[in-house]
Amino acid sequence: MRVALYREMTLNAFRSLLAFRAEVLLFLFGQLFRIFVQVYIWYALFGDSGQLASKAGSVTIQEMITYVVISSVISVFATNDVIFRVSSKVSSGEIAMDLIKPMSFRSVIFCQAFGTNLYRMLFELIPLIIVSLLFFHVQLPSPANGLAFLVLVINGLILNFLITYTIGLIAFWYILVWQVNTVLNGLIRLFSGAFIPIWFFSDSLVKFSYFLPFRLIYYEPISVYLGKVTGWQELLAIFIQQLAWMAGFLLLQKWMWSRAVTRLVVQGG
Amino acid sequence: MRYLKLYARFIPIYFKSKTEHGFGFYMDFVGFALTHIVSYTVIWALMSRFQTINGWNMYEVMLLYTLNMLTYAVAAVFFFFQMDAVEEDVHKGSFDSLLVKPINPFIHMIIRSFGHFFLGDIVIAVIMLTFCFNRLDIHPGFGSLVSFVFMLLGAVLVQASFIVITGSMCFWIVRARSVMNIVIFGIRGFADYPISIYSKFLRVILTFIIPYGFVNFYPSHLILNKEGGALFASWLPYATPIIGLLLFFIAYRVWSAGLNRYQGTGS
Repeated sequence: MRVALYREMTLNAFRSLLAFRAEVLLFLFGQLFRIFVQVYIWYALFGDSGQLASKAGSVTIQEMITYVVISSVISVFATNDVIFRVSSKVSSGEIAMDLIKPMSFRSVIFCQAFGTNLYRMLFELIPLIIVSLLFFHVQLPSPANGLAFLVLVINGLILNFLITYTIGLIAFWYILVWQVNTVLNGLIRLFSGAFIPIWFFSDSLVKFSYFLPFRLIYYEPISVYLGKVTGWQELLAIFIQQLAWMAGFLLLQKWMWSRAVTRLVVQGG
Repeated sequence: MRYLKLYARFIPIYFKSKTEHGFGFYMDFVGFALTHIVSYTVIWALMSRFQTINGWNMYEVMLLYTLNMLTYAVAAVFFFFQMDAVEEDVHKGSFDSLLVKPINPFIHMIIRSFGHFFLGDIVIAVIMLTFCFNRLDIHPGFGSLVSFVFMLLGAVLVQASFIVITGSMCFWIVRARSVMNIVIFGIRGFADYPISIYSKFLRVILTFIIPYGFVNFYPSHLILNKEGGALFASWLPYATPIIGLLLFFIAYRVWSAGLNRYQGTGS
C-alpha cells in the first residue's frame, strides 16, 4: 500500500522532468566541460612524471583521471535542488498540500529527489559515462572494491539528501535560500574531495575536512573504488562514520521539524 | 548625451525598487562574495601543494581568475540581467514595448536595468588584483597601466559580446537561457586556468573561435613578462582591444538580425 504511494510520487517527479530537456542538456555539457578542465589541470600538474607521492601512497595520472570521472558521476546524483524545493514550498504555502498527504513531508521530498535521480540516470549519467569512456582511460575496480564502493556511495547520497533537507528546513525561519545553498556548495567543493582529493591536502585542511561530513560523500567512496583503502577495519570505520552522521542529521531534522510545524501558518488555501 | 541623461533617470528608480527588499538585497552580495572566496581557496589548496602549473605560480593563477571575474562582472553589470529580461519579454510578448520607444532598442535594453549583483564582484576583484600585484611584485608605470586598462576594456567587450550573442538566441530558439548558461558558466570556466594547459585543439578554439583566451590569458602577458608564454604569436596580447571591438560588432549584428526576425505574439 505504502510502496505504491511512494512509487507514484517518484514517477510523478520523473514525468514532470521530461518537460525540461534543455536543463538536462545544460547540466550534461557543464559536467563534461568540468571533466575536461580538471583532466587537463591534472595532466599539467603531473607534468612528465606519470605519478606523484601523496598521503595515500603514490598516485598515477590514470588513477587521478578515474577519480575525476567518478567524482562527476557522483555529483550527478549529489547535485539536488532539495534546499530550493523545501523553501519554495514553505514560502509559497504549498507545504499545506504536502502536510495533508498520508506520508511525512520528508518522504515527499525524498521521493521527488529520487524521481529526479532516476531521470538523471537515463539522460545524464549514461551520456556522461559514454563520453568519458570514449575520451579517457577509466580504471575499473576489483569486484570487492566495486561492491564496497556502491554501498558507500548509496550511503553517501542518503547522507547528502539529509544534509540538504535539514538545511532546507531553515526556510521556516529565514528565507535565505540561495545564500545558504552557496555556502553549502562552497564547503562541499572544498572539503568533500570532489575536486582536489584529500590526499593532496595540507595537514591543516585534512584536519578540518575530518570534522565535516562531506568527504564521506565523495572522497572516501572514490578512495575505496581506487583501492586506496585497504583492510576491512578501515572500510567499516567509513561505514560507521556515515551511519553516525546520518543519525545525527536525522535527529536534527526531527527536532527542527517539530519546532517548525508549530510556527507554520498558511493563509487561506 | 541624451542617453546618459536617461540613464541618470533610470538607475535611481532601479535601485529604489531593489533596496525595498532590504536585508536580502545586501545578502546577495555576501552570497556572491562567498563563491569567490571558495574559488580562491581551491586555487590556494591546489597551488600550495604543486607550486606551479605549466610555469604559472599561485598568484599568477589567482590573477587569471581575478581578471576573468573582473571583466565578466563589468560586462555583466550592463548586459547580464538585461539580456535575461529580453528573453522573458520575448516569451511573454511584452518585448514590443521596447520597439515602440524613440530610442535604439539596444540602448534601451542596456539602460533600463542595472546588474547591482556584480558590484560586489568588482570590489573583490579590485582587492585581489592589488593583492596579486603586490605578491608578484608588479609595479606598472603610468604608461603600461594605461595600456593594461585598454587591454581590459577589450576583454570586457569580449565578455559582453558573449552575453549579447547567447542572449540574442532567444529570437530564434525557445530556451535560449540554457545556451547562455552553457557558454557563460561552462565554457568561460576554461579561462580560469592558463589556457596553455589544454590540448592544441582547445587552444585554437579558445583563441580564434570562442576567444575566451583574450579575457585574461593574453592580456596578462603584458604585465607578467612571461617568456615565450604567449601562444601562436607574440603580438596576440596586443590584439585584445581589436578582438573585443570586432566581437562586439558581431554581437550587435546578431542582436539586430534577431530584432528583424522578432514578430510579436500579437497581443
